[in-house]
Amino acid sequence: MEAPAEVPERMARARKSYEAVKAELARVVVGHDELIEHVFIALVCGGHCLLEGVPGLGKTLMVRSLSAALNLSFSRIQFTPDLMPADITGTQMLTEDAAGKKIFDFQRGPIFAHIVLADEINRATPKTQSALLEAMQEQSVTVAGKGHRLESPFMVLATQNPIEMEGTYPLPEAQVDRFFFKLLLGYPGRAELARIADLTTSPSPAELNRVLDAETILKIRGWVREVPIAAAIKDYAARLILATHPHKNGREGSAEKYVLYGASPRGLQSLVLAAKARALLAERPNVSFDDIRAVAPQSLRHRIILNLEGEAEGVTAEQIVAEVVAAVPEIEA
Amino acid sequence: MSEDAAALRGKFSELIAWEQAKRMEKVLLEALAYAFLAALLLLPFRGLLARASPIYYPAAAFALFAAGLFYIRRWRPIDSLCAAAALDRALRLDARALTAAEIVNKNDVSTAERYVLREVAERLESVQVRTLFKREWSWPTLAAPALVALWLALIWLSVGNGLGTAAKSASPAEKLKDFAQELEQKSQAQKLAETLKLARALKALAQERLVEKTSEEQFRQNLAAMEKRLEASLAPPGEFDLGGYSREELAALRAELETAKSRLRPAPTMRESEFLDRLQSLPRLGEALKRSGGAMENMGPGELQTLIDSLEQQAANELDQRSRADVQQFLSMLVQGQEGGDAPAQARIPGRAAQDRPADGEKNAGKGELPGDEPGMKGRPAQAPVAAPGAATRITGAPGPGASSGVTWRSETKAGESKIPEQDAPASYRRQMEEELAAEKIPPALKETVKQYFSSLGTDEKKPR
Repeated sequence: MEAPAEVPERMARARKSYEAVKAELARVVVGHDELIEHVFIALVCGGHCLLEGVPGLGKTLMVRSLSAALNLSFSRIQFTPDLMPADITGTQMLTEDAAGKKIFDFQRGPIFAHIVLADEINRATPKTQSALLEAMQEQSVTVAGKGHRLESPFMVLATQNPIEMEGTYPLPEAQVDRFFFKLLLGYPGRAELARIADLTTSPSPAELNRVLDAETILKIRGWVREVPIAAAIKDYAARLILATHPHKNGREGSAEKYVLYGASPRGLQSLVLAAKARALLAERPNVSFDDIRAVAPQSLRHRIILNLEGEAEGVTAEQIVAEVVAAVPEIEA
Repeated sequence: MSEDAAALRGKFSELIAWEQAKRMEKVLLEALAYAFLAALLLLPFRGLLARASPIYYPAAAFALFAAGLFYIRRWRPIDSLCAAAALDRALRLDARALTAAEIVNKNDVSTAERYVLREVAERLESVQVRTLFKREWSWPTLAAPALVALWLALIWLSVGNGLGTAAKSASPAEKLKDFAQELEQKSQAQKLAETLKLARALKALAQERLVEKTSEEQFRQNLAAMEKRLEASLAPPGEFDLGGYSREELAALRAELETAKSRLRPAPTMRESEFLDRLQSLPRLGEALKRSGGAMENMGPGELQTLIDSLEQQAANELDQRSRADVQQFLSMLVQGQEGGDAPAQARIPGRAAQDRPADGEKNAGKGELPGDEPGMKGRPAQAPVAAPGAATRITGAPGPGASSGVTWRSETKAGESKIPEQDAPASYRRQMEEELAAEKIPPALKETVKQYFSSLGTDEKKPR
C-alpha cells in the first residue's frame, strides 16, 4: 500500500499534466479555459463530450489541438446523412489469404483511435449515430458477430450545431445520455477575437508538442477513482438528480412544471466522477460540495428532457439545473 | 486504528458533545421563555382555569415546551454531519472534516483516505471547539430573563389577583397555619379571648402536621374532632339580642361602650343632664339599650354602669362567637376537602369584612358579610334599596343556599351642619380608629402609635373646659 505522503505527489502530477495540456492548447485555442478544463476532466474520467456551438467557434480546432497535444491516435469522422454504421465501425472485406483461400478480413473503421472527433454528429441518421452507442459505453464494437476492443484511453468528442436544424437528426436520448458532459461554446470576446486574428493569420501556425501520453492518462484515471467522497456529498448528488425529476423531488419548482424526464443514474455517475476529477486537479484529497455544484450543469443539462410547456416557454435545461442547485440543501435528513 | 483516526475521533466526540450541550441549554432557555410568555398570556384567562393556580402556569408550560422542544430537536445522526460541515465552513476545509468523520469509522482505509485523515488531524490539532463555536442566542433565549423578571414582578406586586392566595392552597395544613396566624392576630387586636385560644389550638394542629409529619388522615380526623367540639361549644344568645348586628356594627358598639365607660367615671364638674346628653350622642348604645327594653333616662349611674358592662361583655361574646362560627365553617371545608382557591374567600377571617369590601357599584361574588350577602325573609320580593343621603343602606339577599353577590351603595353626601357635637368628635374618631385598626387599614407598626394618640385625646376630654 502506498504511503499517504504519495497522495500530494500524485495530485501535483495530475495538476501538472492538466496545466501542460492547457498551456499547449492555449497556443492555438483562444479562450475556452473552462471548456478545456471540462474536456480534460472528461478525458481523465473516461467520458465522452458533446460540444455544442454555432459554426466557427473552434470546436473542431479545439479537438484537433487536444489530440495533437496528447500522444494519442486521432481520427475524425464527418457525419453526413449518407454515412453508414460500417463507415464508422469498419467492415468485413472478402480477401484472399496466403494460400489463395478467400476469407473475410475485418477492416477497422475510424472509431479505432484514442480520440475520435464526430463532427456534426446530428447530421447522420439515427441508425448511424447508434453505431457509436456500443463503442461509447462498452469501448468495443461488434461486427459480424465478433467483438473488437477499442483503444484505451478512448474518447469521443462530438460536435453539433444548435442552429441550421433542417436536415439534421436530433440525437436519441439513449445516445445523448452516454455523453459524460455536454459543453457549450460561447462567443469570444473582443480581446479574444483579436488574439484569434493574430494566431490564424500569422505566417507560421504553431506546432503543438505532445505533452501527455496514454499511460499517464490511465494513471490519472485510477487516481480520480480513489479520491474519497463523503456519503453526505454522494447523498447531495443523488438529491440533485432526484430534484430534476418531476413528481419525485418533493419540491415545487420549474422541474415539476417543465420537465418531462429528469437526469438518469448515468448523470449521477458523471456528477460524482467529474467532481472527483475536479478535486484531484485542484490538488484537494477529497470531494467537496462545490465540486458537485461546479460540474452539475455540464453533467446534467443534456440529461433533462423538457416537456412541451417548457419548450413552448423557452425554458432551458441550464435554468432547471441552476434552480435545482440553488434549491437543494447540502445536508438533509 | 491509526493515530490520526484516534485523535480525530476524540475531536469529533468533543465537538458533538459541545454541540449537544449547547442545544440542551438553548432548548431549556427557549422553553423557559415560551413558558413564561405562555403564563403571562394565560393570566387574563385564569378564570377559565379555576382549578390551576396561576403560580404553577410557568412550571406546567415549561414542562410541556421542554418536552416538545427536546423531542423536536433531539440529536440525530444528521446533526453530527451538520456539526462536521460547520467545522468545514469555519476552518475552510472543503468538506475534509465531513469526509474524515466518515472515514474514522471505517476499518478498511485507502491511502487517499489516510491522507485526508492526516490533513484534518493536523488542522484540528490546535482547534478549541468551544472557542470556535461559541454559544449563539436566539430571541427567545434573550427574552427569557426579561420574561422571568416580568413574571416575578407581577407576583411581587400581586397584579395577578389571587396569585398569592392561590399559592397558599398548596396543602390543607399550610392553609390552616396561615389561617390560624391571621386569626390569632385579629383576635388579639379585637381582644377575643376564646377565638385567640382557638387560633392557637389550630396553629398547634397545623404545626403538628407540618413539623411532626403526622399523617394526612390523622390530621383530618383531628380537624373533624375540633370542628365538632367547636360546633358544640357555640353558646346560645345571651341577655341582649345582638344577632341582628353586623360585625361592623358590633365593633362600633364596642367602641361606643368603651367611650361610655370612660364617661361614667366620676366627673365632679359635669352635671347629670350633661352626662346623659353625651351618652345619648352614642347612637348604637342607645339603640342597644332600647332593644333591651331599658331607657337611660330611668337609670342611675350604677345601674347604667352594670348594664354597659354586661352589654360590652355580650358584644365581645357575640364577636367571639361569630369568629368561632367562621372558624368552624373553615374547618368544615377543610375536612370536606374543599381546598380550592375559593376557600379563603368563603371562610373569611373575622374582621376582614371591611377590607374585602368592594368599591362602589362593584359586584362581589361569593359568600361574606357584605350587605346583601345575608339571607332575607322568605317570600318577600327583592326590592331596590332606598338610598338616603348620609345614611347607610342595607340590601338583603334572596334566601336559600348557593352563591350570592352584593353591591355596595353609597348615597351622595348632603351639605349642612354636623350632627355630632364638638365634644363627641373624639369618641366618633376613636370608634372609627377602632374600626380601621380592626380592618387592618393601619399598618401594624403604627397601630400602637395611633392608639396612644387617641388615648391622649381621651385624656384631654376629661380636662375641664
